[in-house]
Amino acid sequence: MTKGLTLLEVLVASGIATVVGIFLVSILVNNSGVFYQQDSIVNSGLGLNDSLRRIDENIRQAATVAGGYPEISPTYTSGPGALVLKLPAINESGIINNVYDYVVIAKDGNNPKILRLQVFPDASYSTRPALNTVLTTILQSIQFDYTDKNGNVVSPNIATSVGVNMTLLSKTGSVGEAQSSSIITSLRNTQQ
Amino acid sequence: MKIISSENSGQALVLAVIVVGLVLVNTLMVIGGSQLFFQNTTYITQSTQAVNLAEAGVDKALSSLNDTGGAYFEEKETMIGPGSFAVTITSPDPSTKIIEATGYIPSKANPKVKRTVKTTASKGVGVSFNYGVQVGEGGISMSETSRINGSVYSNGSINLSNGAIISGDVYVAGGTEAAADQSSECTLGGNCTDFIFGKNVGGNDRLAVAQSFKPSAQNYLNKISLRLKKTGFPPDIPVRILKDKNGQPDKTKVIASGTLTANLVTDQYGFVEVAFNSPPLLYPDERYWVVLSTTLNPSNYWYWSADSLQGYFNGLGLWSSDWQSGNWTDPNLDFDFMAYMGGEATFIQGGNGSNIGGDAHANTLQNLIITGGAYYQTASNVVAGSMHPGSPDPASKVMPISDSNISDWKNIAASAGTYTGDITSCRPTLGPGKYVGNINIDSNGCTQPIIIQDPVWVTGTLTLKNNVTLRLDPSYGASSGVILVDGVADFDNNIKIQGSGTTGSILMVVSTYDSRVNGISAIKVENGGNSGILYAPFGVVKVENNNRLSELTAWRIELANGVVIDYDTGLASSFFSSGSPGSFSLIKGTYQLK
Repeated sequence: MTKGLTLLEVLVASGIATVVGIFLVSILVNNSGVFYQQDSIVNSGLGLNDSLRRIDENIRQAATVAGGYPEISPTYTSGPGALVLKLPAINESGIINNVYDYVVIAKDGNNPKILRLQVFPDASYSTRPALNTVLTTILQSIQFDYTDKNGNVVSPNIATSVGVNMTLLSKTGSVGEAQSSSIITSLRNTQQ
Repeated sequence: MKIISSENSGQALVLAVIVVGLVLVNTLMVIGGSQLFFQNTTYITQSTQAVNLAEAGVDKALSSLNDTGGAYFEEKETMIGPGSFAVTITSPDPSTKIIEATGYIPSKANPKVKRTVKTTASKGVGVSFNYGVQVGEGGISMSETSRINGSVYSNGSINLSNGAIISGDVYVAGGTEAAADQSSECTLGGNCTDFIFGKNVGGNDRLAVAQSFKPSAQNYLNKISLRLKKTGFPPDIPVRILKDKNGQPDKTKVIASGTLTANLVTDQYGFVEVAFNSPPLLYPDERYWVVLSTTLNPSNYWYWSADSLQGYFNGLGLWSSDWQSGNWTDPNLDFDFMAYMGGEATFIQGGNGSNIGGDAHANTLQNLIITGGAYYQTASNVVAGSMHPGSPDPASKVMPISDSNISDWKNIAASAGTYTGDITSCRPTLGPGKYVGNINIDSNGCTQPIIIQDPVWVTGTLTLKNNVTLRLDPSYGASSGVILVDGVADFDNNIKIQGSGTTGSILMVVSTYDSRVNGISAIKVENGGNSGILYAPFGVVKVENNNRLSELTAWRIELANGVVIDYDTGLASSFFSSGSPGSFSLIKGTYQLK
């Protein structure tokens, strides 16, 4: 006949098991928290890097900041929250004189966490492909600042440089922190 | 003795192994994510470095083209910083170079990242017509349904009447007094001397030059004129107005800044205007400094004409190696300058259905319908999309072509040959040169366009009547040309002034006739069908009767009877091949990033 454990033994064993269990679970929880936090930081960082690089390249090639797109009765208007760039149109031979494509960088109309980059090429002449792509889905805020070549703040249509300040949310809500980054880029094709 | 079943032993260890496994997986994923982030950041950084290297290649190519007079063809690989760049040059025509520069990280042989910048350079002078109409202190008069499709910048007041319409934004700068409030100008052939800056002279880096002055009354400083010339191709330089501290410029009190556009300066002395982004308010008997600062370049630098007798008693000249250092040296010279004050109220006056499609900026707005915003100090009977009282007067704008540019073109024309006598009949071509006399051509015998090779300088008047076409030689390609007229120019009935036929090329008629003395129009365009680009820096351009033109720039403009100005945005980057010989400049609007 097998003898059972004494009550004291059961209590001691249970206590040890509980302490060890709590210790192991706390390790797991903390580690998972670190994982989600780091994953969020990495995702935000990647989003910032890629978004700002693409915005920077479009600003460099712009002839001017357009007041809006379309220029008459615009759907998108350049301002602190949106950027409409006017790029010289291109074909197989290079730049087409006096013909322009438009690039719009603005929040999605239905979801303000989504930042879109849209390219509207000139329908008649340009070979630049049309595009409607998502730059990020975790946008907290974006701010465009417009300055002239002396660094004075000016209205968008006479700006020679555009500053972009972008903040992305953490991926998982409460875990991780929002991250910000900014650039200032001069328009290389401006006539100002 | 208590017996514990062997099947139950080691359960804590299993749990520990599971937890450690999960922790390990998480840790590895964090490390992997960090590695991905590191690689991405490295790539983005290298991509930006490659673009910057490619742009450095473009700068190097432009400098080499100018140093070699165009005999520069490629750069196989030049190592610089974290990588290298390579350049190739192609020449679609003798005066145009297509520059393609590629930046490599870390090297061309083994690139991790490469980016290419392609742009175009051309010989000559770049001129930007940024407005459909740009006007000097004479202002604008528009009447009888005349219309400007584009924006307007005027240094003088605007009168609109009888259905006149401006579709874009309208800016009227605060008025500028006709005569300079303060000036110093040496006597040519007498006490004039050169002061070189932007290079090392006698072991000293002269990188900043300053001239002080005292205004006679409290007023806004609208613009400064400086008598300059240049060697080579120095870049645009900032011009600042500083307050005085102990007889020197106070670097902490910069009250205004503007830009001296290098293209407006030639290798011959001429006064060049600089306007300020926000005109500063100056007080009488306080000393202020005009400070020019630039970078060191032994081949591309500036001359400022100076009075060696120091005949200006309200200020003096200084130079320094760094305008912010506070170490200034007195060269015992007064630099040639003129300071123009403002403060005179200017206005946009409307009436009888006149309206403005964009924003209106002026000291005073009267009787206007404005679709956009109204920016003003005083307004009466104005209907606008939004009202902005208390707005500052817009700053004056400098004309897009300087007196020096015009003198340069005239010198080139004179060097091409001088021809004396009036021209009164049609001819197939009109080559570059100085034509002493009048040109007066009616349509008789003009079945073909007259082909122009510029610069053409007419010392008398230019009168064209009935279906005459002047066309720039097709060999000019995308470059533009100019016809200079000392007297008045008169175009009557279907006169066409055309570029080479290539997009971007224009033929511009410039009349230097001074209408400010007697009010006679420098350029008059009558009856329908006329077209062209017209420029009269000191004169009135008067256009009547259903003409459509692309751009007008003048001291004063008068439009009447259904005239339409359709601004062509390509005029913002016109390029005149007959500028200072040998100089290559980048053509704006041709930058491509691949």
